Amino acid sequence: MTRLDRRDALLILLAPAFVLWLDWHGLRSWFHQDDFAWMSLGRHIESFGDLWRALFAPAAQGTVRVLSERFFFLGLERLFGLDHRPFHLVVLATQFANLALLYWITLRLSGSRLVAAAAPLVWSAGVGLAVPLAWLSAYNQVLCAFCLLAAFACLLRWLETGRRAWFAAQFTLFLLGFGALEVAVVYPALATAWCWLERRSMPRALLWLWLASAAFAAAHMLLIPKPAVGIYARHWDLSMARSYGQYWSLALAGDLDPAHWPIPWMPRRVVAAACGLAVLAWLALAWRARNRLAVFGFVWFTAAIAPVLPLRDHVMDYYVAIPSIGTAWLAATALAAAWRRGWKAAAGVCLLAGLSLLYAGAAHRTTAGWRYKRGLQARYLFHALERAVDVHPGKLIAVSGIGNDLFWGAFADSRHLLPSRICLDPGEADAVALPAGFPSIAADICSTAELGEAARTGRLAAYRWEDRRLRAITRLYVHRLPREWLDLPPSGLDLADPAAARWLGSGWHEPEEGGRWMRLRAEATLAAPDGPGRRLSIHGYRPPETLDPPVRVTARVDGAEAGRILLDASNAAFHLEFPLPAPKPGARTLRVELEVDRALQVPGDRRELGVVVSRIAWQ
Amino acid sequence: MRRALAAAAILLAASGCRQARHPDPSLTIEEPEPLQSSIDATNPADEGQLLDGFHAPETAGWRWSAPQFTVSLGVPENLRGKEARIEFEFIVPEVAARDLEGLSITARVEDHEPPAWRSPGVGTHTAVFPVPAALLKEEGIIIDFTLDRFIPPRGGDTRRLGVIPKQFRLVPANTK
Repeated sequence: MTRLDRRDALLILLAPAFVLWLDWHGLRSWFHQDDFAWMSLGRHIESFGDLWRALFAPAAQGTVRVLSERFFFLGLERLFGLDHRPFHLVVLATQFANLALLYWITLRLSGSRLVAAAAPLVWSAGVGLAVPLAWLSAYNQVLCAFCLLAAFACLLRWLETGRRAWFAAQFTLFLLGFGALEVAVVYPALATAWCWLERRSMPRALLWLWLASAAFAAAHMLLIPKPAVGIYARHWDLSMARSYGQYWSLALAGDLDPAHWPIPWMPRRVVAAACGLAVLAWLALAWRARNRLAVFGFVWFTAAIAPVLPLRDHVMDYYVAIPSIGTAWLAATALAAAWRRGWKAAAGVCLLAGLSLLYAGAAHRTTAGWRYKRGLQARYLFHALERAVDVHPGKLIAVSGIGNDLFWGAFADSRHLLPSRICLDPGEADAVALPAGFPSIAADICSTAELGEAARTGRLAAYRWEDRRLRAITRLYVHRLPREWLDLPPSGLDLADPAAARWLGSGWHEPEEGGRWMRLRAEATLAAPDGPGRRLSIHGYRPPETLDPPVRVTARVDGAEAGRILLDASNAAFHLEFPLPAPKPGARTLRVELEVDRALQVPGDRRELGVVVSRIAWQ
Repeated sequence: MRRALAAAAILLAASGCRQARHPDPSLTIEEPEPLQSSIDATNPADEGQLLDGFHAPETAGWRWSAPQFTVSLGVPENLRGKEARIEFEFIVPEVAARDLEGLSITARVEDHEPPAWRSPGVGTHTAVFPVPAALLKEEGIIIDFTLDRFIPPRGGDTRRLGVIPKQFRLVPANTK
């Protein structure tokens, strides 16, 4: 049964209508968390090299999701700015396509409209889709689901017709899946499993899929650095079995706290256990009855969850978004089979499925609501910060009153979208918990030196976050600032500013527009870092036509080499950045020395010219 | 072909959908400019100069201070570089008579701390603190008040309560 009629059109619309009801809040949530980091990528694109890096450089635990994250955020942000609605429309359109594909595939594989209509509904109600539909950074789950379902639909058409075009379409969609989410790597296993279930054989052409997956897996293993510690560290041990059980439990009964259980006296674990046993029983029956779709549902869940099982310390509800297509098939086929066996069996299955959907659906709704609220808080904070930058252009914005939730939900990443330096009051650093394995947040915290300098020069604007608004407290803040901070050397120098000369040692020429030339060696003094995790960055330039052969720039901090960069025509405007050593007790200053290995000769100019340096600063 | 053209037209039109940013002014509460040299603790318009240590207003508009509180006062042109004094008008209510008996108040401006002012007891009083001319060169000053007695948390009220402030004023030293 592959041709759809008017009844099918109506049945296909059931699940999208259900999604609109269930995810009404989630689908309207504003940007939060990683969303800002992805959008800020577009703020630094000035050359083709920048664009290439923005699209393909590994980020966020070494992932390169070109379609679902890079193009999605860069493209839509470029077109619509910080309007979240077009982003959600794209997510929603993709998910509606997923639901239609799932209906068609299920109808094709089961021959039952009941099963075909139930599967998308069950999938939509599960807890797995709550985050991907509410948090734009999780669009990768929705897009990857599309690639897998669309590829699988093409596989079915290819098996049915034998036309190469369907295989080519399948292969293309499968490859596109790599641009959405790494989970696409399991597609050959899914395709092979279905062929084996249907034909007891694997078409040789499927080897191409395996080859592509093997190449992707090898490239991912060799080229992408993997975190060795923290929540994204991989654990190839028995903990994977425990995680597998946890994901089944999540898929079957959600992850609600006891305070939110739909039936207060019935623990979530009881629902998960009862539904888990029912799944096992149905699986055994289905195997004997040759109900291929039910068995395939189990295979789908297992294969699709497999890539995240080594993430022992990062068991997340949205990781079951794609695997839950498998549980939807299991549930839908069980419902149809029970329906045929009589009212008692149907009532039993309906009771269990109802309990599962009640708990998972409640978790879904709660999660979507939580995301909506988090987005709302992020929206208030971001727009307030935007207003503060508008009122105090070029000033250092120091913010207090930001708790842990708001820091990670909005502050940490959204501040990069604004043109001023915005940082957290150092007195509040302890209020922010750094998850294991996360990079240091030192750059998010105002340093004592930059606060002192900003206060001294009247460039400080201090704010306190008060429910949905920022209150200016600059006078009080400066009043309370430790006096010794006001005498600290600066943490950053703009070399074009004549006032910077006070902190420059030997080796510098007069300031010019955009910076100042250094000789082959030059020195500068900054404040000593106020804690570990600070990074020094040096921005500079040398005309590209003078960089053949390349020129080496070396930076030393307190006499020890800290970083070096080789300048050629492709990176004539350079940015050298490296971590600073932990501060020495009692140290007030930091000596930065720069050295260039070849001088530039300009006819008529007798000066010794190394490179132009525009800024030296640590954060 | 028509559909493709329509899609292209929509995409082109969409490229103009990027909205200009106009941050909402109500999202920040800016500090008052210029500072007033006389402020009323019950007047919401002067709230921006009650910097720290004031509890939320009660229904009638008055409010308690904490044992330490800070205000800013503007220095009018006619007072710049001249000696002046701070007048702090407040109430010690009947309910606080025992806790605040023998209350002393200090007022600190930068590193200058004049002698403490001792409260005579229940009633409305005005504490006066001299300010040297050297501290009055800028457009404003910040004053840290400290009470040596307070009403401790009691019953369901977890707050530490000081006095009920009415007015803060910066006036010429020779004002009668």
